[in-house]
Amino acid sequence: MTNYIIRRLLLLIPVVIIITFGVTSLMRVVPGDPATLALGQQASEEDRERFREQYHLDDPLVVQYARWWGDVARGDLGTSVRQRTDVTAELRRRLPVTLEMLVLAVGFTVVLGIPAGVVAGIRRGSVFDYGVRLVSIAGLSIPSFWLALLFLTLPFIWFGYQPPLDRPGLFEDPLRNLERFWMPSFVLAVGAAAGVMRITRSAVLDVLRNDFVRTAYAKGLNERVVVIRHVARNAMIPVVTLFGLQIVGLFGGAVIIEQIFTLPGVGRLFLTSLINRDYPMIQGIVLFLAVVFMTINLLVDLTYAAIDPRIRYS
Amino acid sequence: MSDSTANASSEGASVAVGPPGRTRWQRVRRLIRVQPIGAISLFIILGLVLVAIFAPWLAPHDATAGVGPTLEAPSSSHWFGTDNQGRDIFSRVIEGSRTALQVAIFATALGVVAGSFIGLVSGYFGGWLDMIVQRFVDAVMAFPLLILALVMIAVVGESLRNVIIVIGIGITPGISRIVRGIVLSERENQYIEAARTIGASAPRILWRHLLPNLVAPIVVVGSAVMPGVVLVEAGLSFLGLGTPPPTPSWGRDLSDQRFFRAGPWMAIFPGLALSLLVLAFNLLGDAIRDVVDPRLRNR
Repeated sequence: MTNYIIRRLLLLIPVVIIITFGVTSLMRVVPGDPATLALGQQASEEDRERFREQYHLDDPLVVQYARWWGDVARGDLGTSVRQRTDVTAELRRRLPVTLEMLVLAVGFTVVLGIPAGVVAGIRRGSVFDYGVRLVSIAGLSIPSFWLALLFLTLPFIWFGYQPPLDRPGLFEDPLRNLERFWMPSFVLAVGAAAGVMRITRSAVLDVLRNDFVRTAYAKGLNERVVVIRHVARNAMIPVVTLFGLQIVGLFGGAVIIEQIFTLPGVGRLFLTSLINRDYPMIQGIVLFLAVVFMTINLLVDLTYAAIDPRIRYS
Repeated sequence: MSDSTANASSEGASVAVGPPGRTRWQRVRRLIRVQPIGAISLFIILGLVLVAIFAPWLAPHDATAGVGPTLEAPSSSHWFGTDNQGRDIFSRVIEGSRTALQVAIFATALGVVAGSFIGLVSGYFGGWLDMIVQRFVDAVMAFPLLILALVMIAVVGESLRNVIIVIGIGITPGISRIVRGIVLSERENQYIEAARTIGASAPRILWRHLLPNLVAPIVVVGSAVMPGVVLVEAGLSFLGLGTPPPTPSWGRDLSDQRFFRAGPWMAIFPGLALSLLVLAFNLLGDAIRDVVDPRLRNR
C-alpha cells in the first residue's frame, strides 16, 4: 500500500512538470506585453523596462521557469503582476469561498444523487424509476450557468426575491451565509448529481443480478439490510470513479458560477488573471489546481480499497 | 469485421440496427421501433442542422442589428421578444445554432481523429513512447475541459476557428486513452499476429486491421463527448472568451445578465435552445451506445 502510494506520487512529478512548463510557455506566446498591460499605455519606456527587470520578463523561458520553481520550493508563488499582491496570500484569501461552495455542492450531489439512484435501480420500471431517469437526463442537459441565471431571474420576477449580496462569515451569521451559498452550490451540483444518479442506478442494476443478492434474500434478510449492506456497497466503485471526475469538473463550473453570483473565489481570480495576462497568478493557480486534482484522483483510487477489501494495491 | 459495424461507420447508427438486405425505409421504421428515443433525438439534431444550414433564410430579421423596440416581450412580430439592443431574439437563436453545431461537429471530429491516432500509436507500440505520451495525457486530463479551453483561448485569442481547435485539443487526450485501452486488448488477437507474420507493416496493421475494429467504440466515444463540447463552447462564449461578436452565440446571448429581470425572455430562449441541443446529443449518445453494445440497454 505504502509502496503503491509512493509510486503514484513519483508518477505525479513528470505530470506536474509538464503542466507547469506547458502553462509557462503558453503564457509567453500570448500577444501583448505584460508590462504595458500592467502599467497602462501611458507608462514610459523606462518604467516598462524597470518592470520587466523586476519580474525578470526578459530572461530566457527556461531560466524563468527554473527561478519560479526555486521560489515555489520556498513557499513563494510570486507576486501578481496586476494587483501587486502576493499570489499565495491571494489564493489563501479566495480559497474559503470556493471551498465552501464546493463542499456544499458535493453535499447536494451525494444527497440528491445516491439515494435516488439506489431506489430507482431497485424499483426498476416503476414510476419513481422513470422520474429519476427523466430528472437525470434533464439535469445532465441543462447548463449550470443557465440554471443559475433562471434562479436569479425568475424568483425575483415572481416574488421579488433577491438573494443576499453580502457575504457574512459562516460562523458570524450561519443562516445568511447559507442563504448566500446554497444557490450557487445547488446549480453547480445539479449536473453532477444527475450523473451520480445515473451511474448509481446502473451500478445497482448490475449488482442486483449477482447470486449473493439472491442468497441474502434467501436467508431471510429484510430488504433494507440487503440493499444497504450488500447492494449499495458493491455498487459504489463506479460511483466513486465518477464522483472523483465530478469534483474536478465542479472546479470548472465554479469559474462560471462564481462569476454569475459575484463570489470572489478562486474561479473568478483565475478568470480575471487570464484576461489580464497575469502570469504569476495563472501559474500559481494552475499549480495549485494541478496538485488538488491529482490528489483527488489518488484519493479516489485509494477509496476503492476502502470500499472493496478485495482490491489491494502493491 | 462484422457487417453491422461497417455500416455503422459509414451511415450512422440507424443502419446498425437492421440486418442488411432490407430497404432503407424498413430500416428507419425498425430503428424507430427499437430505439424510439434515439430516433427522436436524431431527428431533433438533423432538424437543428437544417436550421443551421438555412439560418439566413429562416431568420425573419437581421440577427445582428436592432430591428424593433428594446426589451419587447414575445409577440407575433418578434416570437421570442427583443433584447436590450432591440435585436430579434428568435433570429439570434436561429443564427446561434450555427455556432453551436459547427463547434460540436468540427471540434468533436478533430478530437476523435487526433485522439484515435494517438491512442492507436501509443497503445500499439507501447514501451517508452507510450510512457511519455501517457504522461502528457495525464497532464491534460487532470484539468476540466472548460479550464483547459480557457487557458488556451487566452493564448490564441477568440474566434470560431480557435474555439473549435481548442476544444478539439481539449477532448483529444480522453479519447486517446479510451482508444488506447481498446487497442491494448485488441492487439493480442490472432488476426493481428497473423498480419504481422505475413509481414504487414505497422502502419498497415494499424490502418487496415486495427482501426476498422475500433470504429464502433470510437463512434460511441465521439457521440458521448458531444454534449460536453456544446456546453464548453457555450461556457466560453458566456465568459466572453468564445466566438467574438457580432456572430450570434447562445452562450454569449446569455451573458447580458443585467437585463434579464426586465426581459426574462432574453434568458429563456437561448438557454432552451442550448439545453435542447445538449439533451438531443445526450439521448443520441445513449442510443448509439445501446445499439453498439446491447448489453447496456435500458440502463
